[in-house]
Parts: sequence; C-alpha cells; structure tokens
Amino acid sequence: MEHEPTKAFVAEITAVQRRLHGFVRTLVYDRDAIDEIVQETNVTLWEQAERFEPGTNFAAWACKVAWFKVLEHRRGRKLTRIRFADELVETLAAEAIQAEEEHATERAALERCVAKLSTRHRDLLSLYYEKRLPLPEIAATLDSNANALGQMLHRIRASLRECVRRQLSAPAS
Amino acid sequence: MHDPDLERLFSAVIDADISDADHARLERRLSTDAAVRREFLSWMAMESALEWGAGNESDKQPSAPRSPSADTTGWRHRHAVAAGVAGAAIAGFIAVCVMMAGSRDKSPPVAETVRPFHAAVPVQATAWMSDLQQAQWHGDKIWHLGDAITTGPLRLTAGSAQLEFSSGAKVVLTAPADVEVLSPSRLFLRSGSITPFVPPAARGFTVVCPSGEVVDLGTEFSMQVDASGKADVYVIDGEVDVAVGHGPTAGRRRLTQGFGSSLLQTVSHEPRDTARPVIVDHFDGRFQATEGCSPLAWTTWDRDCAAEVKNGSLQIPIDGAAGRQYPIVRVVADHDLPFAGNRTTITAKITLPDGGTAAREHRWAGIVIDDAAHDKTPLAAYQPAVALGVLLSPNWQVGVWGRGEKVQKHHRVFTRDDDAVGPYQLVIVVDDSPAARKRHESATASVTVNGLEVLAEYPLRLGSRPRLQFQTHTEHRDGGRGIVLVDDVSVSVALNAAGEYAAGEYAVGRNSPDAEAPRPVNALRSAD
Repeated sequence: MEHEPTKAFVAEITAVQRRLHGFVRTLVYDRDAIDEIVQETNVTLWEQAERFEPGTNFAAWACKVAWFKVLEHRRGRKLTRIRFADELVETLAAEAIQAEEEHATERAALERCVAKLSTRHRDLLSLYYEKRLPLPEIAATLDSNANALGQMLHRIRASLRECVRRQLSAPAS
Repeated sequence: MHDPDLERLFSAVIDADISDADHARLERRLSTDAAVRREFLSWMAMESALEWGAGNESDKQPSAPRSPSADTTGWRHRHAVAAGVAGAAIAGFIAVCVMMAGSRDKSPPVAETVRPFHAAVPVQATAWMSDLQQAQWHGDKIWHLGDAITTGPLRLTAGSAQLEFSSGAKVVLTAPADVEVLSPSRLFLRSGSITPFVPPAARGFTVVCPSGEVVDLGTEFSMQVDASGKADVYVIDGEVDVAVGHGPTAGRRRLTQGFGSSLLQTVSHEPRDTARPVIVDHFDGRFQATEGCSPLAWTTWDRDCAAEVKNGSLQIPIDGAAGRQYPIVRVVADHDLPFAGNRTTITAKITLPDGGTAAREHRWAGIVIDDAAHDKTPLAAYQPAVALGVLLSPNWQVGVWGRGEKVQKHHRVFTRDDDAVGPYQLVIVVDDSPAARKRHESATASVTVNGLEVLAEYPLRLGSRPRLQFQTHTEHRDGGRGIVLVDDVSVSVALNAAGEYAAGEYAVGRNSPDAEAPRPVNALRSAD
C-alpha cells in the first residue's frame, strides 16, 4: 500500500527547511555542499515519511539525519578547504542543536538590524545573497571593486552581529 | 565579546578563503573555548539567516518587523524547498508546492519556533545506520548512512556496518551477520558476528541469541553465533552477564575481560525447564506424559464449526464469514494445572494457513491465558480479564496483551513471505513462584517465538483460575478463512528455581474462593 505523506508531515518538513539549512551551515562551509546535504536530508526524510508521528520532535530528527549526511560528506571529500577535527565538528553539532532557541531569537533581532542598514549596504546584501552574484560582478553594478566590497561585507556582518547583541541585551529596540 | 581578529577568521570561513595558519588558529580557539564556539555558531546562523532573506522586505514597508517564523516569504525558501523536494516523490513535491502556495497569504506557520530543541536524539527511530563500509545486504536491500531502523531483520552479506541505538549503544556488524533490532537496548543476533560498544548511559544493553542472552555491563565484547545456534562470547573490556536460555530463571554467569563463553542452542519442542509432570500432546492419538497424567481435554467454546483433532494436529478454523465481526474460535484446555504459586511452561507449535497476501491481513491465532473465575462465559481476548495473550499473524506481527492495560509489543519477527505461516514455536513461561513474586511483587510472563524473545519478565496478574486457551480470530469480514494447526502442546510445572518438582506437592489457587481438599497436580479432569 503506497503511503501518502500526511499534511502534518508536509507542514513539518516545510517548516524545518530553514533550521536544517542553519544547522548544516554551522558544520559545512562550502555553499554547494550545504545545498547538496540539505537536499539529501530531505530525500531521506521523505523516504521515511510514514514513520512520522505527529507531536514528536521533528526538527531533532531532521537534524540527526542531516548530521549523518554531514558525516558522509566529510568522509567523501578529504580535500575541502576548511576542515575541522572530527571531535570539534561533533561538539559544534551538539551545541548547534542546543543553541537553536537562541538563534531563533537572534534571527528576529537580525530582521530589525538589517532594516537599519544604509541603502547601499542593503543593495550589497541583496545582490550577494539574493541574486547570488559573485563580488566582481557586484563591483561593476555598485561602482566599486571586489576587494573593497569584500571588506564592506565583513564590516556589515560585524555590525549586524553587534546590533543583534545589543538588541538581545537591551530589548527596547 | 568583541574580538575583531576572531571576526575576521569567521568571515574567512564564510568566504572559504582562509590561510592554513589562520585555519589552525581558529580550530584551536574553537576546540578550547566554548564562548568562541558560541559566537562562531551565531555567526554561521546569521549567515544562514541572511541567505534566507532576512530583511528582504521592500522599502515600502520599513517599519513592520516580520515574525521570525515567516520564512515562507524569504527568497531562499522558494529555492531551498523546491530543491529539497526535487529528489523526493512527485506526490510529495506537489503537496509541498500546494502547501507553499496556500500559505503565502496566510499567517506564518507557528511550528518552527514553538518547540524547544533538545539534544539531537532521534525520536522516530529505535536505531540508526551510523556507518557503512562496502556493506551489502540480503535481497539487494540498500541502506544509507543515517537511515532509521525500527523493526525487521538486517542481513549483512558483505562488508561491515554500524548501528547506533537511541540508548547510545553502538553495534558493529561484520558480514555475514543476521540481526534484528528489538528495542533501544536489545538486539537479536540470529547468526554472525557483532561487536557492541556500550557507553555507561546504555549499560544493560542486551544481545539476545537463540541459545541465550548477553547483558552488557559497560563494556566491549564480541559475539558470534553460528548456524547451529551456538554462541561464542568474548569480553574485550569490562564485563558482561551471560545467560543460558531465556527468561527469569536462565542461569546467569558473569564474564570479565579476557574471558569467553559458549552458549549452546537448547531450543526444542520440550519445555526448557523440564520437570515432572510433563504433559505433551502431539495430537496423534499417542499421548505422552508422565505417569498419572491424562491428556489435556480440549473444549471448543464458540461456533458450530468446531475445532477437531485431525491428521496429528489440533485444527482450529479461522472463519471470517461475511457479516460477522471479530469471529473468534476458541479451544480451551480443560485442566487443573496450578499456575498459582508455580512456574509453568507452556509450549506449542502453531502453523498458520496460507492463502495469498490479501487474505493474510488481520488473521490471528494464538494462546491466551485468562481468568476463568466466571468460566462459563466465553471471554473475548481483548477484555481485561485476559492475563496474557500471545497472538500471531502472518501479517508480520506478534502481539502480546497483558491484563488491565494493553501491553502491545508488535514485533516483526519473521523475515520472508514463505516464513509467514510458520510453524511458530511458542514458549511461554508463567512464573508465579516465590522468586518471581519477590522480584516483581507479582507473577511474570515471558514469551519466546522461534527462539526469539518477544517478552521478558512482564509483570502479570494471574487470576484465581487461569485458563489456557487457543484461539483464532479474523478482522476480515469478507472471508478470511483457513485452518490453524496446533501441535506439540506441552505444559510443565516447576516449583523452584532449579526446576524441580516435588512429587506429591501441590498448590491450590491463591485466590480460590472455595479451597477444596488439595489434590495432586497431575490429576486432570478427563474429557467427558
């Protein structure tokens, strides 16, 4: 008998995408690999849809599956640019799971912080993150050079992070 | 903390552009400083949030901060979810699209931020496939890293694999190996070779094999079962308890590091704890028992289509006549066996009827021990008066019911379609001896099916006149039919842990309202 995924399951898997991505992002630093791993995780989650029990911690399960996919990926690609020791990665994974609530709060604050950025900075973010253009191409649009833009990106991240920290310690935004 | 140097390192990771020296430095700081890790995780989470379109609102709505769970409007979401399900079933993909389209104009889903996150414990699965090395499986089954394992057999034909249980135990399988996951802390090893690693949290992890079981006590041991069922255990580190046989009275021995042990297969049609009197009915006209015993007298409780002894077995029909709901055919062993105060072992061999997959659904046969206190009334198997019920179905299930609440252990015992009809060798030990009562303040039951322990030491409330019955049952209204064969039924009573029965001793039912003059146990009522 073919099992149809329930609406509850579909809702869960949709809602977990962002968290999955966030989780994998803390452990894998190549953007293509991240997408691949998230996709493989989704495939596995779908394959096991009939075992889903509403009310259980779907996100924990999804992240566990993602963790195994990360392990598989690490085993398969020995020569990644950034490769931390096994023990560190395992620790990061466990701490990432536990920090999720905190990260959710930080995401809320991040929204407000991004809104406060200058137009030019927000343009850069949009071209870099939304359009996914490489820096040299953005440089042409924004009349700058890739190096300077790289520096600007870094400063934006640092200032966003600082803004978020301030928001969380004094939530009177 | 504000650490510009650290922030540069973080950015370098994000840009995947970092020198070896910086990589080493960052790795060291992350490994040694939890605060650094925390900041790192927050940076990566922020990066993920940016990729998902934090602050993607157009300038027309600058002052309305969106709820963080409104991720259905982030630019990333459309890409990611579509990509995520592209590899999945088409039906699923369409369902997600419908889901997304529908939610765009509605309030954002609440699910994402509501439930707290705990440590990544897989709540859906009993165990996980946590490592594979050139693994090949029977029947061309494919397992992937991270796949959840719930029930069912695992037969490794080549390579090696590691299972990680939700209890924390890890078991390495080396081909050829034939195992079955029973629970987060129990594994059945049918044959082959395994090495369990059991961390302190999972202490008590047990490997069950046809001839006994091995309980881990914080250790590393190796275990091998050969085709004859003989098991060899060798303790690499720590200690284990090894039990020969199953159930509460199986003799236990502790093994420490460097020691090994062999367990021989002892499964047979005879009760394991053989003691007088032994009653074995082969239904072939030749009744075998110790002196003074009479055959078990069988009485059919229901239906016109009576069970009968024919061709050397007790034949009980399954009758799913149209329109009848839950038809049950019961055959009761009329006996005077004193479950109370004793340890009673009941064995039987049950063969289910064949008949194609569709007809196999929801047909059951099994043994029930119930309270015959009001024994003129036929009791349905599902009523609370049942002390213990063991039901078998060709639909891959063994169900065990206990008195009061429904203790269901649906366990996928059998492995191939042609195994589905059996025969199933059932061994039930009902232990109401003083030793059992001391352990659990009640009687206990344990059930083994084809050498596989399905239920161990389940606390049981025996009634005053527990009755043994065989029954068949179907949930099919449109004619689940067939004949169940029951053979080699034996009942033995053992009084003490050593399995010795003192002739002449007896025990009257504990709660028996009418305490008659005591009679020897082996004087059965003869069938009239």
